[in-house]
Amino acid sequence: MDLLELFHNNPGLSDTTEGVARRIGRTASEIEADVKDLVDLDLLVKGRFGKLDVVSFNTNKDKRIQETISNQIKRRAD
Amino acid sequence: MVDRVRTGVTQLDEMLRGGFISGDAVLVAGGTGTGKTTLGLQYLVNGATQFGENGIFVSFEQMPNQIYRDAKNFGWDLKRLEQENKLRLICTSPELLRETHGTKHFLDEPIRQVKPRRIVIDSLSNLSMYIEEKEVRKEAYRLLNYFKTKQISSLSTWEAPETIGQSLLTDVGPSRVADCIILMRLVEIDSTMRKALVVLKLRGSDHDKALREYNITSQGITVAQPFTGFESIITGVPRRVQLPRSF
Repeated sequence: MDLLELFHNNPGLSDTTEGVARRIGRTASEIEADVKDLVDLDLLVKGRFGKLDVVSFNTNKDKRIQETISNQIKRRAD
Repeated sequence: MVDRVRTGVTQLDEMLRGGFISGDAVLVAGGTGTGKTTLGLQYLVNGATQFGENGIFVSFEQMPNQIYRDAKNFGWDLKRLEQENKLRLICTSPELLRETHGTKHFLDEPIRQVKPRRIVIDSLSNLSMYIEEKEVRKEAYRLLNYFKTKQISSLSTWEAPETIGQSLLTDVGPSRVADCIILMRLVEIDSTMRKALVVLKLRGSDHDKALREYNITSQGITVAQPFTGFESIITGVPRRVQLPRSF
């Protein structure tokens, strides 16, 4: 949840796994499983740049999810 | 006639005789709380809104939401500028800027997308978190030259201890590879902390040599008149100039 909140609030964040972990006071190994889950959900994109792993946010996917949620709430209210 | 890049801070542009020189690497050095990041943001916002020059802000420490919030306090809507593709805020680690992927640089893609004329690195001193002190100058040189080859005017902030004096500053970090150095520092005058700014170096151009007071206002940084009646301002603890007694 911390990870999702971090990227949702900071879509311009694109960092190494270690760099991302540091920003929420954790270590790379501690967030590895969460990163994998969010990558599987297509919310995070993990790529390779040179020798380093880079994790960034899939803003389009985030936008689509938010739209879906907002539409569902709207439909229920109608 | 050299092409100038105006900061949009009128008095600072006057000190620089029109602005930074286009394509130059500018170093803004100063201690914590002196307004280096604010000046960097102002340089980019003015570039995008007044001079039609897009920009990229690279932050190593501060998170984007913090930067958006702080900028809003100065009336700068960074999110809107990003939506208009005039600005890009990138939050990353210095090690990614040192890395190459084949022949690609980490900033190649955002540079292709935004087509910036200006870039701010906040802060270049974060490089020393990842590499040995002796390597900092070399890495800074490489990074600043990367921007030069892309014809982007860079402004990098540099965290300089408040105890540092002018003579020491010119010998640390990437100061030798910078074309222009601006020093911002806090000074104590009559038990009040005030702020002083000086252009230490502007390669290939005349510039104002005076130490001027500056303020961080609700519109950003404004530069005022030179300090008068004091000496040794650069040390942070100025002395009143003793006027000669008249007989």
